[in-house]
Amino acid sequence: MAAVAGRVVPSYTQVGPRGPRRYLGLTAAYLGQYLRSRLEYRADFLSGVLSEVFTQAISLTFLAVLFTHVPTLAGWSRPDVYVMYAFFQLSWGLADSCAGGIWGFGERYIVRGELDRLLLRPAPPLFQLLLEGVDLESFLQVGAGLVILVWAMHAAEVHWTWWMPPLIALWTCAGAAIFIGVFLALTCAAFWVDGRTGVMPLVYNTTAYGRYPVTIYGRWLRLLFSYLLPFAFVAFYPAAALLRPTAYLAWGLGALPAAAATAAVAGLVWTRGLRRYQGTGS
Amino acid sequence: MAVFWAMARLRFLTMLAYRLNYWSGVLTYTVYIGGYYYIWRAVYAGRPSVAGMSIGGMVTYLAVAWMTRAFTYNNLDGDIEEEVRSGLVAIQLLRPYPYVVGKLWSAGGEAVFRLAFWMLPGMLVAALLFPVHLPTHPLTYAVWVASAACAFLVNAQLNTAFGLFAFSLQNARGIRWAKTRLVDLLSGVYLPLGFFPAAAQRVMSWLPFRDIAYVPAAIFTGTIPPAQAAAAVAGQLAWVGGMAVVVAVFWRRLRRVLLVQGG
Repeated sequence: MAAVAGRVVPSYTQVGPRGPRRYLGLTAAYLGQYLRSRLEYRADFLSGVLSEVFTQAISLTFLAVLFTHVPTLAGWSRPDVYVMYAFFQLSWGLADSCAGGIWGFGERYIVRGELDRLLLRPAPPLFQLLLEGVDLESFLQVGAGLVILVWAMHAAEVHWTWWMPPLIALWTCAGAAIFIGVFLALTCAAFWVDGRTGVMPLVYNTTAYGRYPVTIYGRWLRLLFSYLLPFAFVAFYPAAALLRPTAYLAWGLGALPAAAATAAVAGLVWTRGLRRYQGTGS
Repeated sequence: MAVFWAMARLRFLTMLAYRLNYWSGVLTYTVYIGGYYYIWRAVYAGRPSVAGMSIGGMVTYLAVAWMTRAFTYNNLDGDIEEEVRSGLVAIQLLRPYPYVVGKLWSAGGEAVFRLAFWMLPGMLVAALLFPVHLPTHPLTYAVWVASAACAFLVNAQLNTAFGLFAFSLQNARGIRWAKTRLVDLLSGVYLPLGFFPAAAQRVMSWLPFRDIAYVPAAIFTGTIPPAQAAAAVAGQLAWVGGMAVVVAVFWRRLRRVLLVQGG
């Protein structure tokens, strides 16, 4: 139940199904509404695909040119680094396709007071926030990541086993949870501070560090990206676990507790922030 | 002329109004440079030189290339697209000066802010954090300043042309994003153009992108030797003129097809 300014909102009469079925129904309703508005602009989708393919090609070109001069990067070959890149894209794509509400949160929900609307509705506000920000075009990045992953694993001569597909799906979700958790926790600063702090874009830029073997960084950065902003668990550790399971499988599985911890911290910050929210009076 | 100075000044003051702008630029570009510094440090591990470049030369190149980008970067393409799409451009057209020239001057105002608050402090920070080698000859600095100014003019006009062209496309945001990445790659901020295969380099020597970051950075690091620096700047000047022609052509086409409803 939503808490407004420290008080609990009086209970309401629940209609329709309860439990998980209720949330599935709500998700379907939100997505249906989203698709209806998007299908008005079908040409958008094609140019979205094209610009996505193009952007990926540019990033891969950088790596390809780099590896024409050296055989390995900190002991990892070109296909190995492509696998890391692919994991990054998978998780980023999944996170980005439902983080639209997070990027403009301070501006839209706090300054303009739209959070009032979410709080008045009989569903958890965070659930609504994520669903309102759904952008399925970003889901193209997941598709791109998957194509690159399959191709890079083939090039890296990794043999598929039965446990890989479910584990890759799990890692993708864990990575997305890490991204969403970190940025949700940061965006909650809007509950305490007026105006932009500039921390979000800064951390956004550091995410790219997660695409490369974390061993290339100095000691402090390695600790930072493993424990404080655990972006290394999004791409490097899962990829390393696939490529060199004997050395890295434990680290790769560490992505799950890392994601859980990030989500827990973000959830805590979010509830603390909600308690402070007083609306704009509009 | 006074009008244009006023536009540049206004844009400068707008940038100045957001206190966040004072330090966010230096931090952002330090993060960019840092990312590439660590990648290249790993590439150079145990090698004295790669493609004829030492690690010191490479780090200096990256710092100067990114800082040149910090100086020349602007959002003219997005601004113009937005104004054309929303019809705001109709009001701009009523004003007694050429629309695109006004845009260029306001971008100039932004560039002065970026120079003073982002580029110069950023170079200082980069020189403290990373092993950057500074050139010893004063003339190198003079040529580099001229080259950076040309880089700004090429980039600003490229963005103007792109904005005038892209307003009619769907999903302009995605395409603009892809375009920014492409310009970064081809202008040499990810890696010096000398690292590309020979055939690609030949193609790139005919394109304007190298003039946006590669040429000033290469002059600064001596990758383009002082004897050839003047010719490189002349090449940039040629593209300043070339892009002006492109902008003029796109502008005429836009005025022919533009139809603003109401307003």
